[in-house]
Amino acid sequence: MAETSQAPSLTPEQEEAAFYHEAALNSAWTGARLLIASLSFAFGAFIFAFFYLKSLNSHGMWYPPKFTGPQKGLGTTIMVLIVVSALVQWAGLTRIKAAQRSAWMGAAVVALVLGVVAACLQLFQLVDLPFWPGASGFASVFVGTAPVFVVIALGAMVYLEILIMRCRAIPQISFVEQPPTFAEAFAVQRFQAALSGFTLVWNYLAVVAVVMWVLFYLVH
Amino acid sequence: MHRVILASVTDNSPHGYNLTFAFPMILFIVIAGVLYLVYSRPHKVPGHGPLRISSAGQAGTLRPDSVPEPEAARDAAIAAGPSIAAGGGSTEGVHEAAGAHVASASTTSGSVSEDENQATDAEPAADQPAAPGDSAAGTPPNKDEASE
Repeated sequence: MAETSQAPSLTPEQEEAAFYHEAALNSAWTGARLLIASLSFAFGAFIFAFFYLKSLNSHGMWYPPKFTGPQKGLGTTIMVLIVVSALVQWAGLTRIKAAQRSAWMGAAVVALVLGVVAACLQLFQLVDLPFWPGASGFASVFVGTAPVFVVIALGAMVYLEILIMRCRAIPQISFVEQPPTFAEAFAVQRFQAALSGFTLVWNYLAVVAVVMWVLFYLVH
Repeated sequence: MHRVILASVTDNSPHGYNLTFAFPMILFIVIAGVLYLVYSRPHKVPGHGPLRISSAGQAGTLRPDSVPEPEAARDAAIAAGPSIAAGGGSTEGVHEAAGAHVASASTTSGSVSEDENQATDAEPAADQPAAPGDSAAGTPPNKDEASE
């Protein structure tokens, strides 16, 4: 039960509200992990395609000798931006746990900008590829994977912006001491649960970005 | 003729069908195993931990019958995020600005969001002290704005 349940003599309505609040906290925790599992299947499909076509290498067309791959510098920059964004946001999370709301706000804005820039660079790379999607097996996998990743990353950035706006509505003091009303206490706790879930998913996407970078720019 | 065709195929078929079987299997087993371990073990859900005790003395203990100021209630509604209450979020919740319940109760459309202006007009009602035993006293009522 939530910490708020310790209040004496709750009415049935208050108990019901606490129940739904509890459900919200748990669903954020469970949903973030289910989302990661779902994303793992989605990215797993592309990783399977990568190794399947590379292993099959039909008519030597996986990565032909004269084939020019995607721009390595751009790909590395995208990966680094996403990793740094996740690290900055994670560092901000440790600060908000220490009741420094403004520190997390600053870190979150930086992480948001880095993530959006990475997504924009990825889109720029996709419209400026030196090969056609059907030029090789590698090309088809890359052209399938990159758009999916950039859409998911942009979705994560939209959620981060929502979290920033939610955090703005919470007074600094609420991160330091117990708010006096249910509404305010529930709001803080639900924000904490949502932020925790987001951090997990964004860190996971950073790991995925590194794996994709290794596959597309080093292993191919 | 058949041998000639086979000899001309350069594909590494054995690796292909081995991967086709093994990769999805392993992926499913790994993810299912990890989820089982994560969900079956004791865990701490963020947000459940006690907030710090106030140095002011009074804070640290929630007061069930207290109602937040309209401004604080509105901010809390924004910060709390979407409602998961039964009824798709249009039912009463604890995160809504005080007074919205009055407005939503008088709606004929059944959609609180369509009556946002009414809710705004009704906000001064939140300033009215809640009567003892009023079920909504500690649970400021809901409106769709809180879900955004």
